[in-house]
Amino acid sequence: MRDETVTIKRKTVEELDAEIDAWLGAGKTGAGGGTELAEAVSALAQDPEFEASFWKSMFVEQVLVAMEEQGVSRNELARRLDKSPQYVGRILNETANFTIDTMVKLAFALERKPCFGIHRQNERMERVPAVVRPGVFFRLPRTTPGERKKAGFARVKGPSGIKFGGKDARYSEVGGVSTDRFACQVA
Amino acid sequence: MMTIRLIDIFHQPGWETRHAIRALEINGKCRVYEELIDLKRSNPADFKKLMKVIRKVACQERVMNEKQVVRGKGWPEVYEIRAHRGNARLYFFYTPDNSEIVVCTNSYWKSKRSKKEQDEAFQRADRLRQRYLESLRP
Repeated sequence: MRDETVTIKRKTVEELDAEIDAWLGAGKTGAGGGTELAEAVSALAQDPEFEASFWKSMFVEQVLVAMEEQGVSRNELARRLDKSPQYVGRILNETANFTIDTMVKLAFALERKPCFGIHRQNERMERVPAVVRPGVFFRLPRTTPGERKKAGFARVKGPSGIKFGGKDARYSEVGGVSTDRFACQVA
Repeated sequence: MMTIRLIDIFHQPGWETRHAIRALEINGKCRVYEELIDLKRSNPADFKKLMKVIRKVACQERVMNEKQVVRGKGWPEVYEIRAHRGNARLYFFYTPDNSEIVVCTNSYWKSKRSKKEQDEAFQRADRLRQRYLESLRP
């Protein structure tokens, strides 16, 4: 194992304070009250290139977190994806222009679920852990009414009294109460 | 008498963030704000890269990517934001109360491969952090 010694020349508090005072002295009073930075941030919020770059970076961050949690190296990830380590390196460096297909493959390779979509400006996204408990709706695999009855599941009405049908059908354990039509989750 | 306060530099309605990003203002002077404005005017590309990482810092509990955020060796409470594949550097710390606020202290333009400049910037950031914490004491 390589022995790394970090040599840092530390300044005294007095030296640092003198430097900081000189540095502050060169500044303008009240500069922080300006609006230029806020306007620049607002402009970035409307910039598709900035937004794409940010979300790409956030995706890579989640990949790095998953790799760290599972102890997966760059080479191991490349092996799981059946790609070259160089390609994985370009993904992690945010230089590869990867597709949604690649993103899904990355998620699966790291035993994660992909999540994409758009939402209204006034909505916020929240990640909640998936749980199964009585009263929480979930979609059953293809079953007949007889099989569902036998298994103890029954079709129920949604919160607004609408009975979901067809592919929108939601089921709960008998006696379960619906809270949200879209809060369906299967662990 | 030294007056220290924090000013909001990164509030954007619609951006969901975990931390508030603020800058240190001492005696009415906010050098980091001025430095960011200078960077925006002189090098918009690096400004954009820096802002991307600032937004990541605001959104994430901690940023893992060490190409973008580095914890100070010898100054573990101070972090460096790097404009990815750029030269701009920005220093910050998390406030001790639940780390809800990220306080930006100073910045510099990396002009050469020198650790001395970086160490000096880390030391300055850490001293500014100490001054801020001292100002909180009753």
